[in-house]
Amino acid sequence: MWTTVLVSGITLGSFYTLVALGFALIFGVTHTFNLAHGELIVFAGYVAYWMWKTYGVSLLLTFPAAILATLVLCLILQRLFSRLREPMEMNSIVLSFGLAILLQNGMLFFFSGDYRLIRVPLLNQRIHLPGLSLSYGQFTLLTISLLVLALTYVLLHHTYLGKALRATIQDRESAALAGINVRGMGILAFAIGAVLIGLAGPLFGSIHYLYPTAGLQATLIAVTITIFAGVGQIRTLILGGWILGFAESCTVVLLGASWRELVSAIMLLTLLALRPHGILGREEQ
Amino acid sequence: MSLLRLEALSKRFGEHWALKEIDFDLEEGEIVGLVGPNGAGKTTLFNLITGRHKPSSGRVWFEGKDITFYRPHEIQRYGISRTFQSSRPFARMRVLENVVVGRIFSGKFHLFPHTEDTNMARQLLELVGLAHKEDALAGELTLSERRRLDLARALATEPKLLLLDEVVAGFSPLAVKQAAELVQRARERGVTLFIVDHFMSLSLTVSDRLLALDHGEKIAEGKPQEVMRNRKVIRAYLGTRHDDEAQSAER
Repeated sequence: MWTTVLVSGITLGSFYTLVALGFALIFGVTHTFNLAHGELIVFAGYVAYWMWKTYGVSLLLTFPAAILATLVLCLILQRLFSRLREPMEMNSIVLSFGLAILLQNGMLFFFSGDYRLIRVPLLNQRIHLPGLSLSYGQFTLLTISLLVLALTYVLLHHTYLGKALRATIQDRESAALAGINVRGMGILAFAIGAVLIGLAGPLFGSIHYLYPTAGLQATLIAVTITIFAGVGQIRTLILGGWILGFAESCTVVLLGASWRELVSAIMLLTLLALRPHGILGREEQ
Repeated sequence: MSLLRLEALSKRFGEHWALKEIDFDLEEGEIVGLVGPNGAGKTTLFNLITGRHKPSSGRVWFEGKDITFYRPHEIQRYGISRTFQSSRPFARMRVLENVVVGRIFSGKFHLFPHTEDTNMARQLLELVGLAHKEDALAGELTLSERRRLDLARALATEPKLLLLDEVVAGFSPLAVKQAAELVQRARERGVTLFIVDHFMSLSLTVSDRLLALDHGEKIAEGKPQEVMRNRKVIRAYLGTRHDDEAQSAER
């Protein structure tokens, strides 16, 4: 039983890291604390659902459309956020809180309040390996999540654009002095964040019901993991994701599925009590 | 044409004039010391030149171009770099990577790290004496190592003009001497230098000229020895108490 818990914990945790990564990157580079992050993931999920339901497009093929739609939306949001004044963190929380409600109502209008799920029967079939057994759904979730995390890691650490992004995260003024266009990096961060959200959305819609307010849980997960890890540190984000995923899996087994949503909330409160400086995700200068 | 021309440059914060009508010309290849007591406006002047703050009035010309309202990274790309009074490396990056970051937008853009950039970064670390630390995290360096890293990072962008803000504050006399050699070597690379140095320990030995500020106003400029003998400069540094008494006695 415990291998099952472990497998499900790591699978969920890797996906949670993917959910958090876009948030952490956008926050790190632009200091935009985007409370509408979960709504964007649900939006991308709805785009995938709509393509799957209406045109019978397979789940994997909905990614390009979901990414493209999220990219357009995120670049519009970036324009909005870039008009805000300092303190950016506080102002963006207020703006994105409003945006989240706006997006929820927009989605209610277009997709109604019904619970939707991208049901792919194949994903429920099980793969049996010596010593463990997991579903195709878990396998897909794990593979895509880890692949995307690895690619993002390579992008951030082994390309010049990534180095410029990380430099901007660590010190904007020093970055500008190194000739880095900080505003340009902000747009880039929103664009990469949009790709990550566009990838997370369809996956979210295949393991979790989509409804207009479903994004809250995703936002909570993203905020919790980001505060645990600090921004711009993918390895620590993965650790945080796995801890959260494992804690949820244990809770489901020990207490039942209805307690699951409490786990991230409790973890967030614990983190804030233990690492209060973590809210800004940056070390003291 | 001078490399840098400041034209009636003023900066006001609320009611307080941090800088008032500063005119100054810097010629290519010079080392100029910017001196003055605390609050004289030295760092503010650097902030205006590098675009960190915008002046309340006046103009900054660089190579004949009006760069007053350019954004910081644009000014940097035109060839002005600086170091901060409190050293600010990218703390969670390795020392070598810190220097390489300066190369990203300094020449032709490459997506993937380029050997030439890495080699140049290594040379610069060699120059500032940090070659043995290239794999250390920048956040773990000592103060004097950080300042040397700052210099290497600034030079990596191949600036024409380099503004150094209090690079030797808190340094031992030996370290000041080493810093002076570094500054000379930077000049040999074709860099013009503008150096803020409150205690003048560095600028007196290396500067061709000094610019002295007090309360945001230019009080003297010229050869270091002349500026040092200037009555206003002495008064600014040693305090005005005796002078005030003398003045009130005169009245």
